[in-house]
Amino acid sequence: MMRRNLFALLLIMPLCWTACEKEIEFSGKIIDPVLVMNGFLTPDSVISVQISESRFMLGKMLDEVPPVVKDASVSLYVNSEYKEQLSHIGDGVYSGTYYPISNDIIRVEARVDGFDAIWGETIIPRKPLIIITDSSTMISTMGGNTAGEKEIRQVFWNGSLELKMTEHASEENYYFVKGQKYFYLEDGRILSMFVDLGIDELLEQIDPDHASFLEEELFGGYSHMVKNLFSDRFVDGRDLFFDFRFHDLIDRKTYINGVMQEESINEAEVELRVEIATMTKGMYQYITSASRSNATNGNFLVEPVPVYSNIKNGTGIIESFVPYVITFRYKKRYNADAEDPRYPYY
Amino acid sequence: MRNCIIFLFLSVIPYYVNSQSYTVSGYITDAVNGEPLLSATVFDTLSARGSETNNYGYYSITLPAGEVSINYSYVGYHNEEHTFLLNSDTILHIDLDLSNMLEEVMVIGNHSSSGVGKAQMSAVEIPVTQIKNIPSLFGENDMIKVLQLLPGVQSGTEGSAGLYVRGGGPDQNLLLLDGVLLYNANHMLGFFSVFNSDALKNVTLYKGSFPARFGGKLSSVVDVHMKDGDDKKIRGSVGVGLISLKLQLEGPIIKEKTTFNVSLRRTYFDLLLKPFILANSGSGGINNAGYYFYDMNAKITHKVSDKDKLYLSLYRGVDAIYYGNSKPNMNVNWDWGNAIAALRWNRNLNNKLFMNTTASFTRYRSSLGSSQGDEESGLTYKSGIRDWTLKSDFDYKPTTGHDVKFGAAYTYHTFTPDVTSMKFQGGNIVEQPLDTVLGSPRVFAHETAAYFEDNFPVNRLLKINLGLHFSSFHVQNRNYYSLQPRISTRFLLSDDLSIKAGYAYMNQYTHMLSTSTVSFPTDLWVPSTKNIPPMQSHQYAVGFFYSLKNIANFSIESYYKTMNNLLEYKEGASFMGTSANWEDKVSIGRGVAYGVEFLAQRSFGNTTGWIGYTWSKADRIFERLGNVLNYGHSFPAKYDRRHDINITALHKFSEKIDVSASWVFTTGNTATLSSHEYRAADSPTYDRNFWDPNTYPYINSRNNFRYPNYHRLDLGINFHKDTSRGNHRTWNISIYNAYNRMNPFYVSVWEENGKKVLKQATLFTIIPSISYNIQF
Repeated sequence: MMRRNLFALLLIMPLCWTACEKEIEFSGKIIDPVLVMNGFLTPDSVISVQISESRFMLGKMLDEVPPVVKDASVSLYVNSEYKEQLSHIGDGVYSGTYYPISNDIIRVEARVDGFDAIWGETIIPRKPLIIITDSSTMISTMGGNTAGEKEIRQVFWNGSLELKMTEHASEENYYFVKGQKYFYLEDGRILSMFVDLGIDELLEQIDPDHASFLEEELFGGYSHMVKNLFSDRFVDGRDLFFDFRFHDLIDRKTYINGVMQEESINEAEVELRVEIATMTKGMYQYITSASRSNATNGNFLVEPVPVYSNIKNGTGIIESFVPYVITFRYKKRYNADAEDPRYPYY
Repeated sequence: MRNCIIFLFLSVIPYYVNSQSYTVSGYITDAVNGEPLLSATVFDTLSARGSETNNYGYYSITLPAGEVSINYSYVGYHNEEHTFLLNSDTILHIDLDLSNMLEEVMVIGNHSSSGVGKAQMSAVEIPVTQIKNIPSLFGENDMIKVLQLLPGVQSGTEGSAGLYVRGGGPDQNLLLLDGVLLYNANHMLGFFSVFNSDALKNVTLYKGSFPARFGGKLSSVVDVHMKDGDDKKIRGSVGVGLISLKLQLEGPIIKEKTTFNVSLRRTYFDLLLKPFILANSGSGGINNAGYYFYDMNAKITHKVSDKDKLYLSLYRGVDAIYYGNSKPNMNVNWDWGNAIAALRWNRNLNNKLFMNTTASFTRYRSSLGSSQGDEESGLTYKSGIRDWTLKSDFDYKPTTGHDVKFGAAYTYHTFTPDVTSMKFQGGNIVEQPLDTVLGSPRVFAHETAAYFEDNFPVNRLLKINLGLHFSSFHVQNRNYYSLQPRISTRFLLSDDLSIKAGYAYMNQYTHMLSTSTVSFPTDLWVPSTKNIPPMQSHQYAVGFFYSLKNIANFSIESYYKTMNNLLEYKEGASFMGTSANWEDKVSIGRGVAYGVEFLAQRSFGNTTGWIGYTWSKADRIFERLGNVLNYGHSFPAKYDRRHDINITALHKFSEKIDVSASWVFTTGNTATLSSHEYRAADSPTYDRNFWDPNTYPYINSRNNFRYPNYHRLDLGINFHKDTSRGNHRTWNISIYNAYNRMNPFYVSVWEENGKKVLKQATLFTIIPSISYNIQF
């Protein structure tokens, strides 16, 4: 961060002799709101989209979000044939009953009084071709951390996963990779957190967009919104090998003079999901342009970056992805007094 | 059309049939330093026929045998008249003395290129003395900033040296330095141009009705000539300004035979900063950082014989940013700039035919290198263009008033649009190691051009400049050909009033891609390719020119220009990212621009200056399949401004003091501004615990917002004094934006007190500056 600031300072230093700023009135034409339709579709879920409106942003509080639309008429078409009406299930979200499959052409249309009808379309991509070449789990115990008569013994869950993904040659393909843990708590809550798969640098090598020095230094760079995305431009048709290693502290016991101390302990079931997904080009464009739009917002050096949209007569996104999911399950004990069970001992 | 051209050629033949004529030719030079005078006037008062010198100070005039009385004149110089009996071809070299008369102060635009009597329109010559007198930002005299004060020429952002001529883009200007193309005209993000005024002799701007000898760009020609150097004694100057130091030296190597002229300019901001950086680097961290730019112009002229001259012109300009960190060890070096070298041979093949042959090299490059740790890890980014050119131009004057120019050129281009090389330690996840050189491959291209230009009077009232420019571009096994007709006509309505009309078809094979609002070294120069066709333009212009003797000259011109195959980055695309070739990132579209320009100028007496007004409109349309921008709707060009007023005045109180002022008013810039926002989609790909953008800005159209109007007053005063040692010193005091107008540099939505508000940022408020110059 310091490097970036200094670099920017060097660039603009000669220009900042007397620069200053002031608030001004908006003197342009205030446009009418447009309808917004958002949804990322996947074969694992029924088709679901959110309908909302855009709004004039000046003077609005930062935490206010634009209003949703609860009375839209939303129609689903599959492979050019009408399938069903989607029903409003709350917060502007409309769901149906159809689970899409690969190569389906999905089109969603929404009609709202006072607006032109909007629609978006996506083709569900193919599932990635993945073979698990090796996988193992192991529990290990680590003693020590002795402080006087106090000893702490830690128990770890260790997992390893090796995959081979065959990239379809002569096609334009886009992927994302992610690891996510779900915590099923005794009280019925489900919490989740992303897992660092340790492959950021590797992804930089197969998709150098991630390592764009110029972008990072001058224009704010990519955020972690896109660090797990890649295209196949430089690895078209190759076999890609992924080697993931995981470990998680699943239990901790405290001994004083060899006697285990009683602690109030809860137990959670943990599901670790590793996903490698194919996604549509439009989804890739949406996320990368959104990342650039955020990174360059307010940067006078760059023209504003519009966020990609494939919604006709409105804005938003209807695109899709298909993941290949590998799941590990294990149990984890944590201190019942911990504020957030995802970080029980910190 | 063809019959029309034949008729015109046939109709002029009788005009030139004379029973017995002889030619007077030679060079017209400055008597003090031997510098050739460009566009000096040669006029026989007895036959009322005239001519003028070419770009090398050479003239040729063919007159009937008998007594002639030839008057040689050049603005700012004493006239010289020679009366003699002309009974054979005669060579007569003329030295003109500089005038000290106050009433002969030179002023922009008055000169021969676009006066009432010339066929050429939409052209302005700018004396370098004028460039030095107009007040400027930080006191840095800047030729491009003076051009921006002319009608039809828009600047970019505040203080920028970008040129937007008649609705064109900054890459559509043919910038010629001694006949060699310069690609990058800017220093310091575009706030200064690369032209060091100390090295310049003459500047001509063509905005339309382009003569056939020019080609390769759509919107303007800026023809800049460097000084040859004094052929009698060594002289020079040293100047110190707010941001730079300048040195110029010229003189004879062999008296009246071989001369040199060298000028250097460098900013010193980084040198001032260095002690502070070193003082703070004791415990590690930053130990080296700065920014600078420099220019170096050099020219050697050698008179081989009365008929032959050789010129060697060199230019190198560099901007550089550097940064070094000791702990952790990291270095960044980024430099960019032009280099040109040209070897030129002038020969008078006979007293009517002049030849200029040039072999030249020009290069623009941007190079960024960063290294970390043990130098095993790092990144380099390179972009650039390199041209080798050979061209010959001929100037033939068969009879007085009849000027024929023809020539041909060949250029070999090497484009390196953007190449990124990366080295990273550690493994990778593919079976074989990856090639770490990424980006667009080099593109090689062959460009040829040939032209024929005939400037002739049909009769006393009608004068025509007719031309044809042919060009071809061979790239990636694809050939592009273009035959470009050009015509300028002048019809005298009275001795002081003429109407002119012109048409020019232009082609351009190189494009600049830019995403930034200021000039950046990340701007990519790319060629036409098998997928990207050349840009084209058709420009029509018509105008009235009136001279109110001893008071002022007036002109009003209107133009209509269409442009095709313009390039813009696609929505959201930029030079950034290598996951797509640059050709996949651009859209191809068209543009239309039209306007009216008014210029009133006074070039006599102690008070001189001009008033310029432009009404103009410039739009872009990107509607082709796969190239749609702005939903296919028309949108204003980046610097489309409806009104543009420039008033410049200079007053010379005495030999010791002169003052100047300029006031500009323009309609505000257009900009893309989002006033709406909408809900972001919930993406499964990133962790919303850490990054949860609730909304994204909604941009309904490009350049949908117009900034507040821009206006500014600049003032300047020069104090001159001749010292006891015979040196001439000048103190210049300038005030930029004298009444401290808060002009918008950019407008953006900001977050303040938990709310979103609209704010404008002003870059330059009132800026006084002082500079000192001594000539010896």
